[in-house]
Amino acid sequence: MVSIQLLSEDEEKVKIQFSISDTGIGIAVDKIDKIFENFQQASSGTARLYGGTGLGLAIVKQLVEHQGGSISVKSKIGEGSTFSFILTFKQTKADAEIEPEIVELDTEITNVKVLVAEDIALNQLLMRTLLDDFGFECDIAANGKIAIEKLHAKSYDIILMDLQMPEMNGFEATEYIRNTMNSVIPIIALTADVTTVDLAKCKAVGMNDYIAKPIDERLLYSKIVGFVKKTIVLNENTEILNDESIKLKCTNLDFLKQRTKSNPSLMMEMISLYLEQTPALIKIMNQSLLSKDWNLLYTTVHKMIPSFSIVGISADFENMAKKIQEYASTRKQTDKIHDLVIQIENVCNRACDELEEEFNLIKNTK
Amino acid sequence: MMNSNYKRTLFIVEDDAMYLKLVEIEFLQYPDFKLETFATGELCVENLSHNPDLIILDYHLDSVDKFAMNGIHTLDKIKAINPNIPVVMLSSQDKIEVAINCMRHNAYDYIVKSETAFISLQKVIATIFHTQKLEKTLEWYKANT
Repeated sequence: MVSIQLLSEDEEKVKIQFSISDTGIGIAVDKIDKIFENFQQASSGTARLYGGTGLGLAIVKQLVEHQGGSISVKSKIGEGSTFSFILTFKQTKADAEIEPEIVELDTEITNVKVLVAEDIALNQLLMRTLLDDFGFECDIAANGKIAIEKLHAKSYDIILMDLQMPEMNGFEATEYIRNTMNSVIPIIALTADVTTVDLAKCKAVGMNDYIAKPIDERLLYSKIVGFVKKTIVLNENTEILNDESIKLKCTNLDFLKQRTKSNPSLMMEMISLYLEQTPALIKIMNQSLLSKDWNLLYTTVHKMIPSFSIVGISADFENMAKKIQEYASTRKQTDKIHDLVIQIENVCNRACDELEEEFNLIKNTK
Repeated sequence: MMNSNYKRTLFIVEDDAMYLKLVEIEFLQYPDFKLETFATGELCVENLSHNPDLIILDYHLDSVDKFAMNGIHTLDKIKAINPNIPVVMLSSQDKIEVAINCMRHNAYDYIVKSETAFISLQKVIATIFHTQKLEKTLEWYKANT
């Protein structure tokens, strides 16, 4: 049992006693003075029975005394021992920094958008799986550069940032996010190497926290929830600004241009494939919703999903589509599907209109 | 990638028309490959006699047709007929369990359909053919010394 007790207090200093009690074998009175000496244990048989070098208490004693404290022990054979030390601290007016408690999984907290910057495929999968289990949305960027591109295209609640990545590492990316983008989005470093040098560097570039690999999933969850709860309050004031984007195009042909090296015939082939398959899929999606054929709805939406990123429709819609799949397969919250389907239908219809225009544009300039 | 006249045959099995087209476009830059594309696992298995050097196989082949063979089933069939053909799985599923399952069924590798999928694919293909070349050289030395 661990306990902390305030012994005395004045304007400048406080004296605190820290104690730890066990219900072990106890120490005989005549041995008590010896146990704080180097390489000493209560009896020579202790090491054989319980292991240990006999250095632990000696080190503790030195640590405490170097800080101007004192250490003592009370013990009764057969009942246990209580070790305690007293240290003096300076008074402070600063608020206590509360360590994040381990929060239990709360299914109420959803819609958390996490951006993971991580270059190693296996770690990407691991993070995706963990975040999926938490019920969070997650996008993966393979390096800092891609992370910044994604950050420009979409809003996130928090970033999990690996430190060592090719092209642009986690430190450089954070520096850019803080200084060039002037963003205050919470950034948690993911690091396998928790040395003081790295941690100081994390802080220096403006990261909020770190998590050591291998990742403790409960700690990860607690930290994310801790940060996200804090920022929700901040964000409520800034949301009005984002409304302007509504009139913008919902498609973006950058990806196709890149893949086809802007070859007009290939672009047209891809676009016409989209224009061919999409109206039919929308029709089946609506029909399956009407007839409550959840399996058909699931597979239809599944077919639509890859096309979103190909024609550059925002990942938000892809996530909506995945929500439909989730509700359709679990048969839970099926009442929510209707709205989602309407939104998907709208964006696909708009995409078809836009792409038809693009198609004609390419055709005429060819 | 290759300098001889020998063209490597590559099977692409994918039921999503747009994604299939994308993969095809990607391989246009490698004229050394002869592509054969199939929309179902059944068609792929039927044509194994064409001796593909490599198969790129979608994990979800039964999303269009519920009764179609899925990716894992197709993978098993391919491996039963010719265990030496390397099969790379492509999937929109980025779940560890799915990846592990594919590897257990003797897939050569597992690639998630993401923006870096084509880079990964390039790397895997280069590795596969490099390994095959080394194996052939080794066989040659074994036979001639």
